[in-house]
Amino acid sequence: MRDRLRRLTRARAFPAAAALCVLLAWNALSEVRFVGVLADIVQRGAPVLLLALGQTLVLATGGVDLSVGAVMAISSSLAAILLTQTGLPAGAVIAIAIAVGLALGLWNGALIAYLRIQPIVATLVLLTAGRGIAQLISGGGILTFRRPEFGALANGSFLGVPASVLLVAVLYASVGFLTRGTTLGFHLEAVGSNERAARLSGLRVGRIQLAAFGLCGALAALAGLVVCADVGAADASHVGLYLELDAILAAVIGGASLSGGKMCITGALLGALANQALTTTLLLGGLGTETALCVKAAAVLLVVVLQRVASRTGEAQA
Amino acid sequence: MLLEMRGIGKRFPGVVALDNVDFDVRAGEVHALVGENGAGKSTLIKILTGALALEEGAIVLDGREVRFPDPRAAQRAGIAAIHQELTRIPGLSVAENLLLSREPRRAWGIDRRAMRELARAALARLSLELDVDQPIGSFSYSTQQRVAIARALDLNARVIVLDEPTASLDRKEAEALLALLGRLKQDGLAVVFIGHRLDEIIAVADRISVLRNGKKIGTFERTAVTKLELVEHMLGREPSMTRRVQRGPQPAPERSVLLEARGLRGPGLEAGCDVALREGEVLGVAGLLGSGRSELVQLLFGAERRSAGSVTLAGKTLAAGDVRAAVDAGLGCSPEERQTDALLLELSVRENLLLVVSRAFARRSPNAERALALELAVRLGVVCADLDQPVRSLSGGNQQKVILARWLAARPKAMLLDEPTRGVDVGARAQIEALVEQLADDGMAVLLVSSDLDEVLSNSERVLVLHARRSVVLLDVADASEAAVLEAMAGPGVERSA
Amino acid sequence: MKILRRYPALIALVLLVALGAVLYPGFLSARVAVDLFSDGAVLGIAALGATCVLICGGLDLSIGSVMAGSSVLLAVLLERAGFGPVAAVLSVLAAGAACGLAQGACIHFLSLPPFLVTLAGMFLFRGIALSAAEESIAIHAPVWGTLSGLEIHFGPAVLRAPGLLFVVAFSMLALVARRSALFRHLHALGGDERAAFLLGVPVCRTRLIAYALSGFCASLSGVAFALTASAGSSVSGAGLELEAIAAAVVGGVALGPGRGRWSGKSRGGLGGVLLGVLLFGVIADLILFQGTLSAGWTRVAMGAMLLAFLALERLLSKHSK
Repeated sequence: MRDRLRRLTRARAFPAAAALCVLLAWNALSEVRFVGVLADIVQRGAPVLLLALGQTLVLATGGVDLSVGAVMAISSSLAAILLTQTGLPAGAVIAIAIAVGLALGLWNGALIAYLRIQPIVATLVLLTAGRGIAQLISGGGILTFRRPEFGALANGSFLGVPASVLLVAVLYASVGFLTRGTTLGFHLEAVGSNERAARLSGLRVGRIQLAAFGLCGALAALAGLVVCADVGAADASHVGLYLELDAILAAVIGGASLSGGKMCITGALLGALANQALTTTLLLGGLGTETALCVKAAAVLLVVVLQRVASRTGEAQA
Repeated sequence: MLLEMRGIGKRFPGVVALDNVDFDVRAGEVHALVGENGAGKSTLIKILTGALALEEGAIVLDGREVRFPDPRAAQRAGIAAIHQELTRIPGLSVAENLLLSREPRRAWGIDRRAMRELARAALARLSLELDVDQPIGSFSYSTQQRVAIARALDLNARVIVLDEPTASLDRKEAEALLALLGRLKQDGLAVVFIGHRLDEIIAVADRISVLRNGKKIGTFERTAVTKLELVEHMLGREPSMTRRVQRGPQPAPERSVLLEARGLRGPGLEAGCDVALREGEVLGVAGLLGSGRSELVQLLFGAERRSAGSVTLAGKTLAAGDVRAAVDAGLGCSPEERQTDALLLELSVRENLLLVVSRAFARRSPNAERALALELAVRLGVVCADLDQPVRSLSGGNQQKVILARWLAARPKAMLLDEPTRGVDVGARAQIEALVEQLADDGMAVLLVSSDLDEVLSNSERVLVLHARRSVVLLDVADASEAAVLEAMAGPGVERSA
Repeated sequence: MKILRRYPALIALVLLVALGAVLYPGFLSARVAVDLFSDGAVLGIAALGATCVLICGGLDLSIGSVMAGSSVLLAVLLERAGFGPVAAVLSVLAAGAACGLAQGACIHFLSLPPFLVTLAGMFLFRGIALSAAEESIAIHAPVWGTLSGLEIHFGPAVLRAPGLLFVVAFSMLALVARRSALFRHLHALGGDERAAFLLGVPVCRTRLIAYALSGFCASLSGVAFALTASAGSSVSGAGLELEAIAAAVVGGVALGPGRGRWSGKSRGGLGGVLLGVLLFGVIADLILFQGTLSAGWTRVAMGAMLLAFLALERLLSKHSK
């Protein structure tokens, strides 16, 4: 029993899971409409959940993607312009936007894998230019549209389950399959753990990095679509602003290491949920974003320090 | 005695790097320190210069016991070091590098003019004339090194420590450096010289100390020892009855050549090197540290890009610097540096075992993976509590077995083994040696590189000897005497030095 | 010729200014040139601090938050606590330096990754600023009005107070860079930390000073903001840290450890960063003069510029090998 408990607390996702449990318990005790709160957390948290999935893949290779917020802005502006200016069906619009996100992610990956530019700097390029591109696409203003079949992406429901919950579940399952069911996850971790050893074992490191950044870009584009479907509008200047940092935070709380080699999709999911639960709880309790920011700061520091201590004791045992 | 180190000991987790080592140096002498990789030379020097903390033993300078918490303190006490890896900041100018952390000051900041003049003066002591405002990174390696020496001299050091200073110099540059050491000696400085080129050591040193596996073997007057004896002390060879092998139905030369390199040249391998590895044979590679033995492996495998020559495996030419092509053609490699070049330390034993055979974007089947990992672990005798424990927690021998197993899973035609038994306990070593024999019997071609001459001689049929970054001779183990191999390793001119 | 190779940003700047001069009458004027300094003051001062940290191989993501927090603190001190302008500014600067120092200490003594520590700082300082005041606080103190009214006239061109502050800050820091050992030690630390340690550079002190300087500059940039806007705002300076890093990269400061010779060529870094900030300003001006192009183009052009300089750095470092 004690052994099992120790195992549980050592798990990568433990801090995120514990934080989420505490927050949910607090809400369950203090709020009558607990189910409503729960749905609200997932619904509002959906974009960051998607971003955190992608960011986890990139962090596993030892990289970081700062441009996901900008990619969200591009995809939502693109979708809005296609929906208002052309008669394309919603499905085609979604496909095009995701393909563009994938291409942008691959672009980041190519800068890192083939030009050997540091991930922070390489994705800084798209972070700087991306929002500008989004403004160019949308023409600068806020684009509104009324397309219920597109809006369903965020606000619809299927058998009583909200669409955003379904979407997150499906993507969590698919990314989970990609990383656990195929060798991709293993290879991402191998590259992040020791890039040189991975290369000397015959792995094509460049392609693996491309895959991670490509998927991250595609997921960011999808997150942009969800936001834009939710409000029925695209605001190139504000969609996804700072969400890259929230996504990194969620992944790190979920057990990913910035130095690469460690990945936990479930942890990222829990981390993003905990992040959103915190914001929601504080808002319900009448506390504003400022407290949420301070708590987030404390959470980051706590998690890094814990990681540092854990890796030190791990080394001492070895 | 100017400087004495008494009973120095240093432990790293799981390794005794130094065990009760005594070392001393007089003013006006060059005391050389020799030994193979991992003998503890660099550790000893790092303790002396304050780069590593002193744990056991004492350092006595001028009769007083001293302690150096950091390199700055050692510099102040008059001990200057020129480290193995160049210690300089490439982007800073020559003058800034020379005077880094001891910039001349005047009111309102540093005195840039004084800095230039001091720098020129320091360089003049070595008859160097450089543009001191140029970034030091724009000069050649040997010039950068001479600047480092100028800096050391300029610290008014009484003890100068040089850690493998000639490793990256060509013959002429090395000679100039050695001449300089002679001059320093005459000026009354104490010089500690770490090297692996025995010719140089014999030429420049007054006394020579040999380290092996963290222990001091002895200190010898230069006139009382031969190069051959030094090699024997370094390698720890007692006159032993080596097991000689002759394997396979046919003698080696008749079997077909599997891996062939012609005129191979690249970083760390100067003259074009020819290698012919036949199927079912173990070809040993012998050479002292710095002879180019690891570089040969890296160039054959494509881990480094070759600048000239060709490598073919079973008739197929391998692209330069393309590891994947080599792996696809059926080559495997267990590199010298296990931790940095082969292992995914944070990941599990199972994942490390499966790294080579896992195809990109392929479907994973946990059961098949577990079965394969288990089979490999059992076949190689990897001892671990759990295949899911991180590979970091395994002993050196088990880590090595994991690396070998990972390649065997891919059924390569040829394997390059660079120091497969370094840091490995006796039991695992015997298992690994038995495995190598087994693989060769099954028809695999194996290139075995080792600093342990015994291992090379007892496991291979032919031995390729490297010296000073070129291959010098290919010997048949059955015919050649040990003395012949040792002589070839030590290089030309084995006569007792005057 | 040498200076061109050292600062490729200068070539880009000259080319863009020439382009502007040919296309738009009135572009090549003292007024436009001097306004670059006034308009770029907030970014410019913040970028000076960011450069110090980048040179020593670190990263500071908290710059925008510290800048916003400082502007709020300044407004609070002036409006509500009744501080005089000198006391207020000094306290703000001290607070900024302390923020930087605290983060530097976490990074050095706990050996934590700068990215995460300063990310936490970014959240923390923004949170504190927001909890102090969610709305922006206008500064009505008459002395402050006098201060922000300070300007130097060059014929028709006017260097306004924030620009003045930028020029002073740049000159001071450039003087320090030239005269003190500090910047050499920063370069040494960023170039090769191990070698710097072995050569006797005080690693701990140097790193702490770098982060403290970054915090100091961030709060100075908050002061510049308060001079521009006559207000303190807790939502200002969003994304400032990344713009500052972008300006530094364009100016030739390479990021991360194990940098090549390029970082050495753009020695001092500060001059390069000044060019980077001016370059961004000229791009914005060009798009303003064009008139019909949307603001989106500014960011696209900045991104393209960043990419161009990164590619150039790759090319040069390959070439020099």
